[in-house]
Amino acid sequence: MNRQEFLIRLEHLLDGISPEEKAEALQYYNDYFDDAGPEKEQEVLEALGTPEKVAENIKKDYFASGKSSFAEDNYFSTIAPDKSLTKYGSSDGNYGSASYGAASGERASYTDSTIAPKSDRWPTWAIVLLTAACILLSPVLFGLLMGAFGLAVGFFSIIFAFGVTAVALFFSAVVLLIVAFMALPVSAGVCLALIGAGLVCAGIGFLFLVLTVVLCGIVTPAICRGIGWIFKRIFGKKEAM
Amino acid sequence: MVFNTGAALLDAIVLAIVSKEPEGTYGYKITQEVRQVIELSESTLYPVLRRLQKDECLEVYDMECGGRNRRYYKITSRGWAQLQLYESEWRSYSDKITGLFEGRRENEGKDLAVSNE
Repeated sequence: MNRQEFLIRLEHLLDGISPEEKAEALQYYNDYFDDAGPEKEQEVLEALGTPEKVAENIKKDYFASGKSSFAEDNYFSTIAPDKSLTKYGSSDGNYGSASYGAASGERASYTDSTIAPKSDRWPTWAIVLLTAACILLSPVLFGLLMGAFGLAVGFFSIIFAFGVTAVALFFSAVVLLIVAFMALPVSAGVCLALIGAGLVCAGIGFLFLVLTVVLCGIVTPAICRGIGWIFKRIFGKKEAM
Repeated sequence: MVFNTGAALLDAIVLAIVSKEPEGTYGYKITQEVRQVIELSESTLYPVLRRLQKDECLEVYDMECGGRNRRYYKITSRGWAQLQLYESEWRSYSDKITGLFEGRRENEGKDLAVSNE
């Protein structure tokens, strides 16, 4: 990677921050390369690391700097001398490790940041209880599952039946029209009646066709989405615990 | 480097280095001088300068140099006050730790003397 590539990549990576900040940062690093001189370009590139790391550092500080002045809060409020050590610890713990990734290790503060609580997973007892319940209630669950399966089969059978009905009606309509045509020399009235019947069949057949399409294309996806929504609500709520 | 440098200490170091130049100094030079004192990734320095600038401990001005503009950082009066605060905090902090280490060494010396009798 050379200087140009580095700076271009950095520019893209900084898209999340304000244009003024972005311009300042890019100007800084551009000047940095200039001041180091062309002979030191590779050295600088190695020392800076990847554009990703540089952008990450900039963004972390950018988003953390919404807090009020770090120095004022933590130094003027230090009262007793023996509290200064904890102030170093807690303040650096929150600010230091928030601003500077601990990836390289050299910027982590003296004290570790707090251990993240396991709040985004189900508590262990709940998992155990749920497993036990599943085992005990397995016959009932099996029955329910079969019931659901039956419903699904029934639903798709209805769709199938509608489809077949539509086809049958269309077929009848065609037959009636053919017979009507054959009856034309015999009797005009019969011919007309048969044409009418054929058209009625076609009409009803079309109705069933529409029903089939609707059930397939609209109702089925809607049911699937509805089931998905129900599951999300159940598991989404637990995650918020 | 055995001990990590927290954000506050880094601020103090940067302020101290910039304060040595009454007319201010520029990013590359600051970085080189910081690296003579502590090991530091060069990618971490810019956010520090930016923050100190936002906190009004440093001010910036551009000066033309060799056909291009160079951005200089200069310490402000607020920066001076902050630096002095950092210095006194550091003295008290490092004194305590030094005292702890030395006290331990003294105790160790006494124990050895006792066991040798």
